[in-house]
Amino acid sequence: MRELYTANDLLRHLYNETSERERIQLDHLIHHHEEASTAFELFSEMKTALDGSGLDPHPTSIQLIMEESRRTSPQVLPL
Amino acid sequence: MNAQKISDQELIRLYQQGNESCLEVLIKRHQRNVFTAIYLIVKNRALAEDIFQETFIKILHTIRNDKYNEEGKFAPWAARIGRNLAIDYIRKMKRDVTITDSEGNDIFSYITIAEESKEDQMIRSQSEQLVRELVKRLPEEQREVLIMRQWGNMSFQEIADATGVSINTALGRMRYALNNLRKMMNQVQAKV
Repeated sequence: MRELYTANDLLRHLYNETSERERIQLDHLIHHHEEASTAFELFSEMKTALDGSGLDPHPTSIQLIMEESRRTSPQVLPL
Repeated sequence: MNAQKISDQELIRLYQQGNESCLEVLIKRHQRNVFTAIYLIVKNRALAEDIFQETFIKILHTIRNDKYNEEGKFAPWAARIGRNLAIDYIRKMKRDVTITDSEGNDIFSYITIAEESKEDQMIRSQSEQLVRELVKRLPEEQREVLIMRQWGNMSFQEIADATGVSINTALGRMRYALNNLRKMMNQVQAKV
Protein backbone atom coordinates (compact mmCIF):
# COMPACT_ATOMS: atom_id res chain seq x y z
CA MET A 1 0.00 0.00 0.00
CA ARG A 2 0.97 3.59 -0.62
CA GLU A 3 3.02 5.26 2.12
CA LEU A 4 4.15 8.41 0.35
CA TYR A 5 1.76 11.24 -0.44
CA THR A 6 1.79 14.97 -1.01
CA ALA A 7 -0.66 17.66 0.07
CA ASN A 8 -1.56 17.99 -3.61
CA ASP A 9 -2.60 14.31 -3.65
CA LEU A 10 -4.90 14.97 -0.69
CA LEU A 11 -6.41 17.98 -2.43
CA ARG A 12 -7.11 16.01 -5.61
CA HIS A 13 -8.67 13.31 -3.42
CA LEU A 14 -10.81 15.90 -1.63
CA TYR A 15 -12.22 17.09 -4.95
CA ASN A 16 -12.61 13.58 -6.41
CA GLU A 17 -9.95 14.09 -9.06
CA THR A 18 -8.02 10.88 -8.50
CA SER A 19 -8.18 7.61 -10.38
CA GLU A 20 -10.06 4.77 -8.68
CA ARG A 21 -6.74 3.13 -7.79
CA GLU A 22 -5.39 6.33 -6.24
CA ARG A 23 -8.67 6.86 -4.37
CA ILE A 24 -8.43 3.46 -2.69
CA GLN A 25 -4.75 3.99 -1.82
CA LEU A 26 -5.36 7.47 -0.40
CA ASP A 27 -8.41 6.32 1.57
CA HIS A 28 -6.27 3.60 3.14
CA LEU A 29 -3.48 6.08 3.85
CA ILE A 30 -5.84 8.56 5.49
CA HIS A 31 -7.25 5.87 7.75
CA HIS A 32 -3.86 4.51 8.81
CA HIS A 33 -1.48 7.45 8.73
CA GLU A 34 -2.05 10.06 11.42
CA GLU A 35 -0.29 12.93 9.66
CA ALA A 36 -2.18 12.33 6.41
CA SER A 37 -5.43 11.98 8.33
CA THR A 38 -4.92 15.30 10.12
CA ALA A 39 -3.96 17.13 6.93
CA PHE A 40 -6.95 15.72 5.05
CA GLU A 41 -9.31 16.58 7.90
CA LEU A 42 -8.16 20.22 7.86
CA PHE A 43 -8.76 20.47 4.11
CA SER A 44 -12.15 18.76 4.52
CA GLU A 45 -13.23 21.18 7.23
CA MET A 46 -12.49 24.14 4.98
CA LYS A 47 -14.26 22.57 2.02
CA THR A 48 -17.33 21.95 4.19
CA ALA A 49 -17.27 25.60 5.26
CA LEU A 50 -16.98 26.69 1.62
CA ASP A 51 -19.74 24.31 0.51
CA GLY A 52 -22.11 26.03 2.93
CA SER A 53 -21.17 29.57 1.98
CA GLY A 54 -22.71 29.74 -1.49
CA LEU A 55 -24.92 32.70 -2.24
CA ASP A 56 -28.06 32.80 -4.39
CA PRO A 57 -28.98 35.70 -6.65
CA HIS A 58 -32.16 37.65 -5.98
CA PRO A 59 -35.25 36.11 -7.68
CA THR A 60 -35.64 39.34 -9.65
CA SER A 61 -32.42 38.55 -11.52
CA ILE A 62 -33.87 35.25 -12.71
CA GLN A 63 -37.15 36.95 -13.67
CA LEU A 64 -35.24 39.50 -15.75
CA ILE A 65 -33.29 36.77 -17.55
CA MET A 66 -36.50 34.86 -18.29
CA GLU A 67 -38.16 38.06 -19.55
CA GLU A 68 -35.22 38.62 -21.89
CA SER A 69 -35.49 35.02 -23.06
CA ARG A 70 -39.21 35.37 -23.80
CA ARG A 71 -38.74 38.80 -25.38
CA THR A 72 -36.13 37.51 -27.79
CA SER A 73 -37.71 34.12 -28.40
CA PRO A 74 -37.90 33.40 -32.13
CA GLN A 75 -41.40 32.01 -31.54
CA VAL A 76 -42.79 35.36 -30.35
CA LEU A 77 -44.15 37.35 -33.24
CA PRO A 78 -44.08 41.17 -33.03
CA LEU A 79 -47.49 42.83 -32.52
CA MET B 1 -41.43 16.94 -16.41
CA ASN B 2 -39.12 15.67 -13.64
CA ALA B 3 -36.53 18.41 -13.86
CA GLN B 4 -34.18 16.69 -11.39
CA LYS B 5 -33.57 13.78 -13.74
CA ILE B 6 -33.01 15.73 -16.94
CA SER B 7 -29.36 16.36 -17.82
CA ASP B 8 -28.05 19.83 -18.61
CA GLN B 9 -27.52 18.73 -22.19
CA GLU B 10 -31.14 17.64 -22.54
CA LEU B 11 -32.40 20.89 -20.99
CA ILE B 12 -30.33 22.83 -23.50
CA ARG B 13 -31.72 20.76 -26.37
CA LEU B 14 -35.32 21.31 -25.19
CA TYR B 15 -34.71 25.03 -24.74
CA GLN B 16 -33.36 25.23 -28.28
CA GLN B 17 -36.66 23.68 -29.39
CA GLY B 18 -38.60 26.48 -27.69
CA ASN B 19 -39.27 25.14 -24.18
CA GLU B 20 -38.67 28.30 -22.13
CA SER B 21 -39.11 26.59 -18.77
CA CYS B 22 -35.97 24.51 -19.41
CA LEU B 23 -33.85 27.64 -19.21
CA GLU B 24 -35.31 28.42 -15.79
CA VAL B 25 -34.48 24.89 -14.59
CA LEU B 26 -30.94 25.31 -15.89
CA ILE B 27 -30.51 28.67 -14.17
CA LYS B 28 -31.88 27.43 -10.85
CA ARG B 29 -29.64 24.37 -11.01
CA HIS B 30 -26.47 26.44 -11.42
CA GLN B 31 -27.39 29.83 -9.96
CA ARG B 32 -25.57 29.40 -6.63
CA ASN B 33 -22.21 28.41 -8.08
CA VAL B 34 -22.26 31.02 -10.85
CA PHE B 35 -23.50 33.83 -8.62
CA THR B 36 -21.06 33.06 -5.79
CA ALA B 37 -18.13 32.99 -8.21
CA ILE B 38 -19.13 36.39 -9.61
CA TYR B 39 -19.83 37.90 -6.18
CA LEU B 40 -16.44 36.85 -4.82
CA ILE B 41 -14.70 38.55 -7.74
CA VAL B 42 -16.59 41.85 -7.82
CA LYS B 43 -17.19 41.86 -4.04
CA ASN B 44 -20.44 43.79 -4.36
CA ARG B 45 -23.91 42.27 -4.33
CA ALA B 46 -25.64 44.70 -6.69
CA LEU B 47 -22.85 44.44 -9.27
CA ALA B 48 -22.91 40.67 -8.95
CA GLU B 49 -26.67 40.66 -9.70
CA ASP B 50 -26.07 42.69 -12.89
CA ILE B 51 -23.20 40.48 -14.05
CA PHE B 52 -25.18 37.34 -13.21
CA GLN B 53 -28.01 38.55 -15.47
CA GLU B 54 -25.54 39.44 -18.19
CA THR B 55 -23.94 35.99 -17.88
CA PHE B 56 -27.17 34.08 -18.41
CA ILE B 57 -28.36 36.40 -21.15
CA LYS B 58 -25.09 35.68 -22.96
CA ILE B 59 -25.62 31.98 -22.30
CA LEU B 60 -29.18 31.98 -23.64
CA HIS B 61 -28.16 33.76 -26.83
CA THR B 62 -25.23 31.36 -27.33
CA ILE B 63 -27.54 28.38 -26.93
CA ARG B 64 -30.23 29.90 -29.14
CA ASN B 65 -27.72 30.66 -31.88
CA ASP B 66 -26.58 27.05 -31.80
CA LYS B 67 -23.08 28.05 -30.76
CA TYR B 68 -23.02 25.98 -27.58
CA ASN B 69 -20.54 23.14 -28.01
CA GLU B 70 -19.50 22.28 -24.44
CA GLU B 71 -21.33 18.96 -24.24
CA GLY B 72 -21.46 17.68 -20.68
CA LYS B 73 -19.55 20.68 -19.39
CA PHE B 74 -22.26 23.29 -18.91
CA ALA B 75 -21.37 24.12 -15.29
CA PRO B 76 -17.70 25.08 -15.83
CA TRP B 77 -18.61 26.82 -19.09
CA ALA B 78 -21.28 28.96 -17.37
CA ALA B 79 -18.97 29.76 -14.46
CA ARG B 80 -16.21 30.69 -16.91
CA ILE B 81 -18.48 33.16 -18.70
CA GLY B 82 -19.47 34.71 -15.37
CA ARG B 83 -15.87 34.90 -14.23
CA ASN B 84 -14.71 36.49 -17.48
CA LEU B 85 -17.48 39.10 -17.40
CA ALA B 86 -16.67 39.90 -13.77
CA ILE B 87 -12.95 40.23 -14.51
CA ASP B 88 -13.69 42.38 -17.59
CA TYR B 89 -15.84 44.64 -15.43
CA ILE B 90 -13.12 45.04 -12.80
CA ARG B 91 -10.48 45.77 -15.47
CA LYS B 92 -12.75 48.31 -17.15
CA MET B 93 -13.45 50.08 -13.89
CA LYS B 94 -9.76 50.25 -13.06
CA ARG B 95 -8.90 51.54 -16.53
CA ASP B 96 -11.71 53.91 -17.35
CA VAL B 97 -13.47 55.25 -14.34
CA THR B 98 -12.53 56.83 -11.11
CA ILE B 99 -15.61 58.47 -9.68
CA THR B 100 -14.52 60.83 -6.97
CA ASP B 101 -16.36 62.75 -4.30
CA SER B 102 -16.02 66.49 -3.73
CA GLU B 103 -12.73 65.94 -1.93
CA GLY B 104 -11.23 63.82 -4.68
CA ASN B 105 -11.57 60.46 -2.93
CA ASP B 106 -12.41 57.39 -4.98
CA ILE B 107 -16.10 56.77 -4.37
CA PHE B 108 -15.68 53.03 -4.90
CA SER B 109 -13.60 52.84 -1.77
CA TYR B 110 -16.72 54.01 0.11
CA ILE B 111 -18.77 51.23 -1.46
CA THR B 112 -16.26 48.66 -0.28
CA ILE B 113 -16.01 50.15 3.18
CA ALA B 114 -19.78 50.46 3.52
CA GLU B 115 -20.25 46.87 2.44
CA GLU B 116 -17.60 45.57 4.78
CA SER B 117 -18.97 47.49 7.70
CA LYS B 118 -22.44 46.21 7.11
CA GLU B 119 -21.20 42.67 6.75
CA ASP B 120 -18.91 43.02 9.75
CA GLN B 121 -22.00 43.58 11.89
CA MET B 122 -23.41 40.23 10.84
CA ILE B 123 -20.20 38.21 10.84
CA ARG B 124 -20.49 37.25 14.50
CA SER B 125 -23.75 35.45 13.94
CA GLN B 126 -23.44 34.21 10.36
CA SER B 127 -20.54 31.92 9.58
CA GLU B 128 -21.52 31.65 5.91
CA GLN B 129 -20.96 35.37 5.48
CA LEU B 130 -17.72 35.10 7.42
CA VAL B 131 -16.39 32.52 4.98
CA ARG B 132 -17.34 34.66 1.96
CA GLU B 133 -15.78 37.72 3.55
CA LEU B 134 -12.54 35.84 4.21
CA VAL B 135 -12.43 34.47 0.66
CA LYS B 136 -12.62 38.06 -0.59
CA ARG B 137 -9.48 38.85 1.43
CA LEU B 138 -7.33 36.09 -0.07
CA PRO B 139 -4.51 37.07 -2.45
CA GLU B 140 -5.90 37.27 -6.00
CA GLU B 141 -4.12 34.19 -7.39
CA GLN B 142 -5.30 32.03 -4.53
CA ARG B 143 -8.86 33.41 -4.62
CA GLU B 144 -9.06 32.82 -8.36
CA VAL B 145 -8.14 29.13 -8.11
CA LEU B 146 -10.41 28.59 -5.12
CA ILE B 147 -13.42 30.18 -6.88
CA MET B 148 -12.85 28.24 -10.10
CA ARG B 149 -12.51 24.89 -8.28
CA GLN B 150 -15.17 25.40 -5.61
CA TRP B 151 -17.89 27.21 -7.55
CA GLY B 152 -16.74 26.98 -11.13
CA ASN B 153 -16.71 23.17 -11.16
CA MET B 154 -13.40 23.26 -13.02
CA SER B 155 -10.81 20.53 -12.46
CA PHE B 156 -7.34 21.54 -11.32
CA GLN B 157 -6.05 20.71 -14.80
CA GLU B 158 -8.72 22.96 -16.39
CA ILE B 159 -7.79 25.74 -13.97
CA ALA B 160 -4.11 25.29 -14.81
CA ASP B 161 -4.92 25.53 -18.54
CA ALA B 162 -7.16 28.57 -18.04
CA THR B 163 -4.60 30.47 -15.97
CA GLY B 164 -1.49 29.40 -17.85
CA VAL B 165 0.25 27.62 -14.97
CA SER B 166 1.15 24.01 -14.21
CA ILE B 167 -1.30 21.78 -12.37
CA ASN B 168 1.08 21.70 -9.40
CA THR B 169 1.02 25.49 -9.22
CA ALA B 170 -2.78 25.50 -9.34
CA LEU B 171 -2.88 22.86 -6.59
CA GLY B 172 -0.32 24.81 -4.58
CA ARG B 173 -2.40 27.99 -4.80
CA MET B 174 -5.47 26.07 -3.66
CA ARG B 175 -3.52 24.63 -0.75
CA TYR B 176 -2.34 28.09 0.31
CA ALA B 177 -5.90 29.41 -0.08
CA LEU B 178 -7.37 26.76 2.22
CA ASN B 179 -4.56 27.15 4.75
CA ASN B 180 -4.89 30.93 4.75
CA LEU B 181 -8.66 30.70 5.12
CA ARG B 182 -8.25 28.42 8.11
CA LYS B 183 -5.73 30.80 9.70
CA MET B 184 -8.03 33.79 9.17
CA MET B 185 -11.00 31.90 10.62
CA ASN B 186 -8.97 30.94 13.67
CA GLN B 187 -7.92 34.57 14.12
CA VAL B 188 -11.52 35.79 13.90
CA GLN B 189 -12.75 33.12 16.29
CA ALA B 190 -9.98 33.99 18.75
CA LYS B 191 -11.18 37.61 18.79
CA VAL B 192 -14.86 36.73 19.43
